[in-house]
Parts: sequence; structure tokens; C-alpha cells
Amino acid sequence: MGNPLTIGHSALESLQKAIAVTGNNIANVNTEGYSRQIVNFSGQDGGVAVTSISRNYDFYLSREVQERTSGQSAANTAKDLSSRLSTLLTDSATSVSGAMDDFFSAVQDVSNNPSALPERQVLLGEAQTLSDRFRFIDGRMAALSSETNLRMNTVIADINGLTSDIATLNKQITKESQRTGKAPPDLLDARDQNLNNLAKLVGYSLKENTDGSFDVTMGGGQPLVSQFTAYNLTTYGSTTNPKALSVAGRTAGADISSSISGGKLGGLIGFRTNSLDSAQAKLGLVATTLGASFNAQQALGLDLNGNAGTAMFSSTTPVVIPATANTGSAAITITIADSSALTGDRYGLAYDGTNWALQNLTTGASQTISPTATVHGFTVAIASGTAAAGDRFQIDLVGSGAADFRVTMTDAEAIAAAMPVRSASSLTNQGGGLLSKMKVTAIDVAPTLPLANSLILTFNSANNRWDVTGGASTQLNYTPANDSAGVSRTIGGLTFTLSGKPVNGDVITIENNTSAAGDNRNMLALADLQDSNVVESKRSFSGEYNSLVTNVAVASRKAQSAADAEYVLLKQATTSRDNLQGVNLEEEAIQLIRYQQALQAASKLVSIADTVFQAMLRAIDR
Amino acid sequence: MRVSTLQIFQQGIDNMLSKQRELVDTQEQIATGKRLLDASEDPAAAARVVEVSSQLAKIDQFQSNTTAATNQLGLEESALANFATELQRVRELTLQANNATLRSDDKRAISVEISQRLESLLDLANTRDAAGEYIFAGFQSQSQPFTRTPTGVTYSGDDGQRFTQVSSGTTIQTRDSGQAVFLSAKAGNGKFDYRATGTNSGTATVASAVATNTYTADTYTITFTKANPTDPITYAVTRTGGAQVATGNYTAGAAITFAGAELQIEGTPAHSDTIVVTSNAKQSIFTTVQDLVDSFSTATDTAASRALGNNEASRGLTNLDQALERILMKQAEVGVRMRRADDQVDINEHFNIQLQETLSDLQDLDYTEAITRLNMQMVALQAAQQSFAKIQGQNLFDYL
Repeated sequence: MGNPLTIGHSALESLQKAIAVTGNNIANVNTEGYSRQIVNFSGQDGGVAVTSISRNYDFYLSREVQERTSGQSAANTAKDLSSRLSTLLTDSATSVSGAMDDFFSAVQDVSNNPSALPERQVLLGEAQTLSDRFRFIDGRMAALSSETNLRMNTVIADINGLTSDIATLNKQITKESQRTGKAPPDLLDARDQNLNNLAKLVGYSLKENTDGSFDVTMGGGQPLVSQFTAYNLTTYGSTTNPKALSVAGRTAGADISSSISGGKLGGLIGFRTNSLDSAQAKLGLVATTLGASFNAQQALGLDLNGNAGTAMFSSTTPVVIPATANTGSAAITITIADSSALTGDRYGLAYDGTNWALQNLTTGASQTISPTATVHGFTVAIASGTAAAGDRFQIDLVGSGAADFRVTMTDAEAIAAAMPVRSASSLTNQGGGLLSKMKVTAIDVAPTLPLANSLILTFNSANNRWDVTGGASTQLNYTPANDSAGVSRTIGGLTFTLSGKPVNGDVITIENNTSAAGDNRNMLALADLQDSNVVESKRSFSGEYNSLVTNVAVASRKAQSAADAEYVLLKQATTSRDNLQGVNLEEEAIQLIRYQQALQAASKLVSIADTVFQAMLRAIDR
Repeated sequence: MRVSTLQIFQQGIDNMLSKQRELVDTQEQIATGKRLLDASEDPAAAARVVEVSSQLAKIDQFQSNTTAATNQLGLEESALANFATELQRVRELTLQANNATLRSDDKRAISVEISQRLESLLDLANTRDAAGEYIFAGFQSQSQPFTRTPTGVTYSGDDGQRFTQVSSGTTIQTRDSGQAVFLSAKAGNGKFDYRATGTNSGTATVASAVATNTYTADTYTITFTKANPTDPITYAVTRTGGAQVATGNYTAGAAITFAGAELQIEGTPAHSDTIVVTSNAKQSIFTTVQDLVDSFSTATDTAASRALGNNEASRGLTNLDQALERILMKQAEVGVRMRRADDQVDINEHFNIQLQETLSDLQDLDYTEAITRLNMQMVALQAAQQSFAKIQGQNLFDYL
């Protein structure tokens, strides 16, 4: 048993330490991530000693907070971006939908008054507005895209900073605990704080090594920190999407983007793949098909001066990007053959030395083609040079559709309101044969339009048919008894309805529609495009645009509810963790009182020991 | 269970912030009157809003199309009505001229008036709309379709018709071509027309001309023969190419029958007088009127001229009746189209109201509910603030 003085001394020393720790706890009451420290006393032969200062800490509670932080941060990032995108798309001031409505209204107005220039001028103006709107939205989407790329780079720089700090802390913690046998709480807190910050940027999993270091691993087993080594993330231009960045980890050039989830980085990648990419592709698709189908119908008509209709909009130029590693000299050109067969999908082209493989990068389907070849609505051709085995090309068909959507027509008279042909029944006809509902489906099929010679249809009652002479030589079967309600017949690119009861020798003439300023039939055909299922031959322009808006809104909605759910979960996790880890002032106040009382008692012990000692001295003196 | 002090503050802040957020959202809803502040709040509804707005824009356009159609049809309607009135007047004048006692001077005077009426008819057929288009010119609406020449009235338009879209998938014809309206009246009895040759010197007049179902279309010439004054009058009917289809002795008032046609002829034809039967199914209204002008303006007081005049007048009256029927039929068609346009206005209007209601349901705010909610949220925020202020004052250090 030691003497009271030594015991008192050890008590005073330990309690002062304890008061200092309590004071430290009080000082850190507002410090984020601070774990309350606890003084561990142990009784010793002749007094007390502070054996260690430990943390109120639970690995699993901390992990829960980190995971929830990743989830919430990803959802918030995706929510913010997709809600900006959906506002952009639905705001009536910027919406393409409204501009399309106005454009087609103007088409209808021209059909009401095909020879009037003011209506035509308005249509050109509305076309310009539509083009502006497409290009505005496309510009905003491009800005969102480059913002996403920029933020990815910033986030990755931050991630790299944090992982390198964590690796360093791993080393310090291991060293310290080997030296002292106990890991210092402040370093552990610092590492936890870095891990919490990392959780905001990207989702990861943690493994504690026996030496006290942590291994940080991302989805797909990609290591970020392995004991004392940090692996940097890098970005590079995606090989499947010219507008996107890919992320590589330990192995340069290996795309790990798809395995990244959680955190700002996961949110950014998710926003691009779930909302932005398809929105850009669909917008491009709407613009491309609208421009192409309008131009195609224009080409089937006659303008105010009787000339064949010309294009109103510039056409989409598909983008072909050769891989940087290509060794061949082949230059690939892509042209759009049939806009209604296009989808918003992206394609890749690969040459293996003998065959060309065309891969749909969106669905993954692959097929062998031999250029020049027309597939899925577009034509692949080798413009020049030869390809080497292993050469690859990216094809972005409609990605530039909205940006390329420009009004090339400058003269309002060039709007093709009229059809190239008209028909007339001869006034000398005895019967009542009628030709109506003329439609032009092509002008380059024989008999080509404009007609070199008028088509003369003469009814031949003996054979129940109309004999066609003049510009074409053919027969159209027609049995008045069965067909008088109207049957559709075709000559070359002309389709029309024959009806009524003709008698032998009756004549109907189809002739070039000269000076037809008052003809609005092609205008009506143009107006019909509004409700036609042109996009992918399945949806109207506005239907497709609407589905694009809905997709973005749904993605935004999903991100919003994920963010809400994660917020609640994060709050619960944080509360659980902080209830264990955080500082409570009442508790510290009580600890202070306890230590103060013990300190006073220990002081008394020293004082009594002293009194005893003095008494002994006095007894000896006497 | 212990609670960390930081947590107490953090929770207080979180609670107040989220309540404030709700308040601000409600306030924004009330300020804008919109239920949805962001498409993501209800993507399905947002998509419907875009769709319905687009539908509404279309309906608006259809309404304005229908107005344009009604205006066009109204113009055609009034042109046709005036045309019919003028034709009636021509008919009255023709009846007047067909009087057996009328002198040739008077006939010539009547021909002058008919000629003037023909000018009015032409003007009406050349009616232009507010935009300066000729409404009866077919597609060639920029150039005048009907022109009077010394040989008659020519038509330079075509048979183009204009349609206007008045709702999705429904079009209404808003213009008829001059060919359909003025050039396609039935000629004569609808199968054939007849005409006494101008050089006839007898007094034969056609009293009636009937086509039976077996009528074979061709050009037939009835030639009367009375080589000697004592001979009976005979007739021979030849078709194009000279083939004879009928022959016989002429009896005044008896029907001459050939190729499915029955012509009842009165009066006394002279030797080598001819009556020509033509098988044009249609005749220009202007030709009908022009023929009357030509006939009356060359009238003399001889018996032969009178007979010729009678022939022309009765033939003209038949053709005028056909013309009137044609115009009235077109007027009726236009009336039906106008009625359809009016109905479409009502349908579109009804649809418009329905869509407006849908749109309102989708995006408009229920103010009563929103204001109640605003009050509740304000109370909740106040409670959070006051309770926080109370508990954060409690601390053991106050007593140390």
C-alpha cells in the first residue's frame, strides 16, 4: 500500500487530466464529427492512473451515416439537375411544344389563304421561332452537359484529395497505435471526417485491416484506398457518347462509370444516363424528323411561283467520330435516309479487317454490314481511304439535330402550298366519273413530275377500267357497279380516289398544276404532319416531345423522392451516431462536478497526509 | 437515452427549415395560383398539361379555320344568290321575248338587256375575296377565270376545289370551281340539246325533246325534204358519219323517234331545213345566255325568223331552268357546308370548355385548401420556434 501523499498525487494528476478531457469535450460541443472522449481510470497499487482516453465510437453507426450521406448527396445532385432540366422543358416561355403548336397554326393559316404573302411570312417567322426554341433548349442542355462534366472533374479532384489524405492518416494511425498501443482519438476523428466528406462525393464500402488502416473500395471492386496507397480517379472522353466523360480508376482507360453509385459523382453520372442523354437524343430526334418530314412534303409540292418546293429547314448532319487509336485512313460519312425509321439510339462502327460491325450502343445489338449500306433509316458509306483492322467509329445520328435545326428558306413565296398536278373531268363527259383526294407520294417515280405529258384517263366500259394514255400507259380497274363509292388507285407517285358512274369514253385529265396560287392541298398535307405518327413511325412530334418531358419529370420525381427518403434515413442515422458520439453539456457539467469533488477530496488527502506528517514531526521535536 | 447538445440545436434548425420550406411552397402556390410548381411534383399531370395545352392551341386554330371557312362560304353563298337573281331576270326577259306578237325591234331591245345581264353574271362569276383571289377560278385564283370574247365566254380556270381543316380529320370544302358551278349545268334535257339551223326557211319548231333510257349519245341531224311543192314532207335522221338512223313522213305535232330520242316538231319545215341534236351533257350557263342574245339581236319579222326565235327561246328556257337548278343545288351545298361549319364551331367550343376544365383540374390550385394549409403550417412553425426557444435556455451550467 503506497503512502497517502503518493496516492493523493496520482489522484490529483489523473483528475486534472480528466478535467482537461471534459473541458476538451465541452470545447468541441459544436464540432462536426467529434467523438466524445472518455477518460479510462484504473486503480493501481498506491493510487490511480489514466490508462487511456477512448472515443464514444461505433463503426457500424458511422458507416450507416456515410452510406446515407452518399445516397442523399447523389439524390440531391440528380434532383437539382433534373429539376432544372424539367423546368427548362416545361416552362411555357421556353417550351418547344408551344412553338410547335404556333408553327402548325401558321401552316393552317397559310392553308386558309395560300396565295397571301402575309400568312406565308408569318409561317416563316414561326419556323424561325421554332428553330430558335429548339436551339435554345439544345444550348441549355449542352450547358447542363458541360456543367455535369465540369462538376465531375471537380468532384473527382476532391475525391483524389480526400483518398490521399485517408491513405496518409491510415499510415499515421497504424504507426501511432504500434508505438503507443492505442490509436489516438483525434487522428481517428480526422479520418472519420475525411470518410464522411468522401461519402458526400461518392459511395464506397469500408474494410478495417488488422493494423487499424481502412480499405476504401467503390462499386465493382474498384479500390480508392488500399492500406497506405490511394488510387486516383481520372476522366476521359467517352467512347460511346461524344458529349460525356468516362471515369477510370486504377486501370487507365477502363470505364468504371457504370459501377459508380452514390455521392455527387454518382448523382452526376445518374443524371446524365437517366435524364440528360435521352433528353438530348429525343430532342435531336424530334428536330430531325420534323425538319426532314417537312422538307420531304415541301419537295412534293409547288411554290407560289409554280416551282418545285425546296427545303424549309436545314437537315441534320450526323456526327462521326473516329477513335483516336484508329490506324486506317477511312473517312465514314453518314446520311439520313428515312427520318421516320430513326430512333434516338447511338451507334458504333467497328472494322475487324474483313467485316464491318454496326453496334447499337443503346441496346447493345450488333450486326454486320457492308458499306455502302442503309440500315435503321441511315446510310453508312466510306467516303475515302481504307480502314485498318481494329478501327472504330462513333456515330451520333441525331444528337446535333436540334442544333442543326435552322430555317434555310428566306422567301415566303417558296412555301409549297400547291400540289404539282390537278385533275379535271371533261365537260363533254356523259357519265359522272370523279377523281378526288389526289395525293403525291413521290415526284421521281415515272411518270415523273412535273408531267411531260398530261395523263388522259378514258373510261372503257367493255373492260371495266380506265385506260391511261398520254404521260403514262397503264390501266386502272374500275367496275362502276362495285366501285362507285370510291376506290384508291395509283399511277407512279400519284394516289387518288376514283368514284361515281362513268360511261364509256368519259375522260378525266391529270395535268400539271400551273398558276395554282389558290391550291392549298400540299399545305393541308403539311398541316397533317402535326398529328401524324412520324417519329419512329409511332408518335407525333408533340407526342415524342411530351414523352421526353415526362421522362425527365419522372426522373426528377424519382430523384426527389429518393432525396426525401434519404434525408429521413440520414437524419435517423446521424441522430443515432451523434447520440452515441456527440457531446452533451449536461453530462459534461456533471462530470466536471464529479471530478471537482474528487479533486477536492484528493487535495484534502494530501493536506491530511501533510497534517499527519507535521504531527509526527512535532512529536519527535518534543 | 442520451442526446448530444449539437443534436438538439441541429434538430431545432432542421425542423424550422423544413417547416419554412413548406410555408414558402404553399405561399408560392397561392401567389401563382398553380398547383404544380415543378413538373417533377406530378409528372403525369405535367405531361397532360402540355398535351391539353397543345390540344387547346389546335382547337383555337380550328376555330379560326372555321371562321375563315364560314367567310369564304358566305361570300360564295351571296355570289350564288345574286347570280340566281340575275338568271331569273334573264328568264323573265326570255319569256317576254318568246311572245309570238312581239316585234323584232322589241326583241332586239330585250337582247340588249340580256347582254347587260350577262355582264353582271360574268362579274359575279369573277367575284374576288378580301385577299383579291377569284373564288370561282379553281386553283388559278390569281387570274380572272371568265372572259367575254366575241365568240362567247371563255373559262381559264380549272376544276380545283379548296378544303379547310375544321377539326382533326375533318375538312370542309370552302370553294367550288367555276367549272363545277357555271360550266356544268345540264344541257337540254340532260342527255341532248337540239338546235334549229340558222339558215332554215320553214317554220318548224321543237315542241318537246325527250330522251329515253336507251338514248345513244351522238350528233344527229334531222333533215327535212320536200323536193317538189306537191311532195309530202319527209325527214331523215343521220348520225355522225352519215349513217341514217331514222326516216319517215313528217306530220306536224307527231314525234320523230330515233336512237332513244323523241322530238315533237310543229310547224312546217321547208325543204332542206335541218335540226341538229347534240349530245353534250353539260352546257356553260354563259353559252346559254349568249345564245339568247345572239338569237334575239338578229331577229327579223319573217315567219322563218320567228320560228327560229321560238326554237331558240324555248331551248334557252330549258337550259336556263337547268342553269338555275345547278345554281340552286350549289347554293344548297354551300348552305349545308356552312351549317357543318357552324356545328363544328359548337363542337369545338364544347371541346374547348372541356379541355379548359381538364387543364384547370390539372394545374389550378384549390385556394380554400391552400389557405387552410398555409394557416396550419404557420401555426406549426410558430410552435417549433417557441418550443425551441424554451428548451435551449435550459442548461446545468446556469446553476454552477
